[in-house]
Amino acid sequence: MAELGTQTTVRRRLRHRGRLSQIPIYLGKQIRFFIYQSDWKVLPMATIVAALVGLVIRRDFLQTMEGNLKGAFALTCVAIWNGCFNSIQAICRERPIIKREHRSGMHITSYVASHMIYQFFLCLAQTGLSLYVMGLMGVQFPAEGFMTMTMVTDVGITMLLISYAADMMSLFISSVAHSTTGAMTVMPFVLIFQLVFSGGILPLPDWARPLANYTISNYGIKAIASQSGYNEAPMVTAWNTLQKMRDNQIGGSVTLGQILDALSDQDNQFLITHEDMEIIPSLTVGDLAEVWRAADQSLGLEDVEILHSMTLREALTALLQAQELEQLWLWEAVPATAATPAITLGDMLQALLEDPQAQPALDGTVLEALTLGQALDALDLEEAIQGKEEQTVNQPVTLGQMVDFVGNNQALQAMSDREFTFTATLGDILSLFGEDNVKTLIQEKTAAASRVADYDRTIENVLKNWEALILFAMVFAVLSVMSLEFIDRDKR
Amino acid sequence: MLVIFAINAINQGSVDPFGGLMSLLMTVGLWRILQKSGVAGWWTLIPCACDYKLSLCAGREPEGRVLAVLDGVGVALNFLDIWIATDAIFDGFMALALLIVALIDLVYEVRVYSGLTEVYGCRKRWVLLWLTVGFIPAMLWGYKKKYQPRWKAEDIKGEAANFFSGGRADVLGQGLTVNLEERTVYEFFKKKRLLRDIHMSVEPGHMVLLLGGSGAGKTTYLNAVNGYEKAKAEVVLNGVNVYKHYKEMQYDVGFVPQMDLMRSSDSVVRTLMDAAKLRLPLDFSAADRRARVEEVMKIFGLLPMQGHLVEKLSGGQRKRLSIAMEYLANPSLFILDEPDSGLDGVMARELFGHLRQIANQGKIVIVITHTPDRVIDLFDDVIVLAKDGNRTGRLAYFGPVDQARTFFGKESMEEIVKSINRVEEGGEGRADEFILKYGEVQHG
Repeated sequence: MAELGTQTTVRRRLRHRGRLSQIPIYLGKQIRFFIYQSDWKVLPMATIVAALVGLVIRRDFLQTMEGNLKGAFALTCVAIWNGCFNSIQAICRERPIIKREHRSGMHITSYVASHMIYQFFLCLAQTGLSLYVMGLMGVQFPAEGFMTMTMVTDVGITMLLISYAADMMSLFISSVAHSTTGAMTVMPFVLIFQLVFSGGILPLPDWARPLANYTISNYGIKAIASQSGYNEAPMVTAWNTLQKMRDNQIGGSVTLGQILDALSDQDNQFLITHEDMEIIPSLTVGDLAEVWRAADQSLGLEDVEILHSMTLREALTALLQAQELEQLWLWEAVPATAATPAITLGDMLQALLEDPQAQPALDGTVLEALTLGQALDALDLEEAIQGKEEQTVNQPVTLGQMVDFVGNNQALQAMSDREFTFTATLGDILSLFGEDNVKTLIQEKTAAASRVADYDRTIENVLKNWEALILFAMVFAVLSVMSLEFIDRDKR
Repeated sequence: MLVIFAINAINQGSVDPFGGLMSLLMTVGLWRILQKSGVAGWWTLIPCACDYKLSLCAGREPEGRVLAVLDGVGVALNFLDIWIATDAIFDGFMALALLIVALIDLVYEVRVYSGLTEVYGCRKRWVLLWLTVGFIPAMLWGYKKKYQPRWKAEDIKGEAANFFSGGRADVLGQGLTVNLEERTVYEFFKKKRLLRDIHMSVEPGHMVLLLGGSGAGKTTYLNAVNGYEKAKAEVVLNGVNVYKHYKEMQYDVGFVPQMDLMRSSDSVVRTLMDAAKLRLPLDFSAADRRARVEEVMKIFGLLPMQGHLVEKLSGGQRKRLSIAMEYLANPSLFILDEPDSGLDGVMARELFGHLRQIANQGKIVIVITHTPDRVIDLFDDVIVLAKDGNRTGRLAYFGPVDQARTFFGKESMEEIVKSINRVEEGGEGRADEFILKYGEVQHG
């Protein structure tokens, strides 16, 4: 060891570096730590996580409500994961060093500020890489943005803020924990709390809903769902479920009496509430024509035979068997004599039907078959309704009127034992109503029911969530400073 | 035990006669066990305090604190369960909380009972009995004469516990003066006195050895001296009160911690440059700083490895770097906490020789070391701290090294430490004797 040289005079009681000028010292240390130690590993880790998540969400992200929410949740998870693991060991791994430097004049605020700056750029790099990798994996972002020029930038800003807020939260945990083991023990609980109580994918019971306000993930999901237009996308779950069930048989029997009983129930709240509901609207000639055309196209009614072709034999046989004509056929056309019995008109007709000579004539067609289409063509329906499309053909019928009618109709009451049996697949029913019509209806109705005001695509909504995320980051940074200010109380 | 049993019985709405009998026997047994260790038996009737007092008997006081808190939490949860109208969610949370408390409680009970078996000189298998049928060992150990504790919780108070010298060291214009009345902390809502009644004046240029058994308060004392952890004291360095002018004086006191607390990802020169930025005044230009760093690297033989990462340095090189970081600011008082830990004899000798050279420049160097005899010839003075009956760190001696040998009647420093250590630590247990003797010598 060298001999002690000439002492450089160190003036005492002079000003030393203040808070601001200490920040670059520690920023330099963070950067060296990134290069020489393991901090750089968080970047490839972020790309791997983004790739895996990208593979899962690429198909329906931004296409449907479910895809939007799933994507928002997945992107939030990626950002929180990245942020948490950036800084969870940042302070606790060098806690004794911080204590030594604190007693040598280091300001805690400078130290935390250097972390804040360094971690911000780390989060920025991770967010950029994550979005790039997701693009490679096939996640499609619309070109046009909502808050900025592009959607990727919109989502990127949100992911950066989520990641940074999570980063500051972990920095706080790291500042409280006295060892890396302690910090890593707490980490899973914090992550689970963030994901379970996010209030997005997992529905929360009433008592747990307020907890969502204290999670970063809640605001992250809301921001991404707002940006990606959750409320404007269709909801496909119900329709997809119906499609999977299209081969399912639906059937059963019901008597008219059961239907009448249900309709005449005085306590039926549905009937009371919907008494004035129009169940048969006022129809115009045009409406009926429209129904006819739609039914014709979907059901092929045009080819339905309304009159079948008929031979003379079939016509006479039908007349002979008609009960209404029974007395006529019993009329004695030739009265009985002592030698011969009486010959009725029916006997004569029967003899005619059996006469060999009459057979060719009996097999001749007396009535040609007639389809509904031919009949309507003959009537020239289109021409007939021309100019009368707006003409009303009936008054609207309310549910109350219908119930009254059914309740008072003696003919219907008399047929109360009549049983209706029906069997069909769900696919048949969907075809009956038109698949596109049903799909549109279900998607619109379920989307309307699933609409969330917090996910409305408004600038206010997005800004509100961004502000919340920034507030989280700042609060945790301040808490980190406060907890580290007590570092001199650490047990030796 | 009985009280907790009663609370549980109220909570469950029924009384288990066998459980009641076991709790009664446990309480009676523990009463006697506490008495055997010199603790009042009635503490067994106080729910939280019972476990704490038992942990004192077992020599496991920190675990006892946790157990007491857990007992308190358990009692509170039981009361909550009684008073609050419950639903399924509340019951679920309550069960979860009680389960977690029970699991932690089990671990800490194992530790306390393990300590108790050591105190009673029994085998560890007794711990299993304590955990399952605790009333049996409680009654046996409490009432059979065969089972006696090796030491008592309250028998360690000696005469020195109540002795207070009341003296003060004269404040020196140059050098270090310490007049420490006491250094206390609050642990578990209880004031704990770590150091008490330490007065001394150290001349400039002196190299001082700080001796003391484990837990005597050596590091606490040094932290109080450098002002980082303030005590009820007056510390004057070269005529300036360190506590009142801490912001200015913190750069005049160099503290080298026991561990090599440096970032392994930095190079030697970068570590020193950053340390210089923190410790040197702002009117040092970048060139001045660089010159100072190079000078210090030369002094401590670090120039050849200035570009090496800290993680690549040997143990001795790291020690030198750690000392160099503090030496940069050219402090008047240099404090080192076990700088030779992990070094072989040759390297340690070289390091202490270097510290001697620093002291020869008119600086005060105070060093803690556990292997003092190989370098004792380099020291001028020795401070001996010892635990009194209250486990408070007291001054058993301060003065020249040669006189210390006479004072304690020992030839080596390690023998001196052995003489003041407690019996259960393998020492002679004469701390009180020397604390009183030193007080009498100093103040009559």
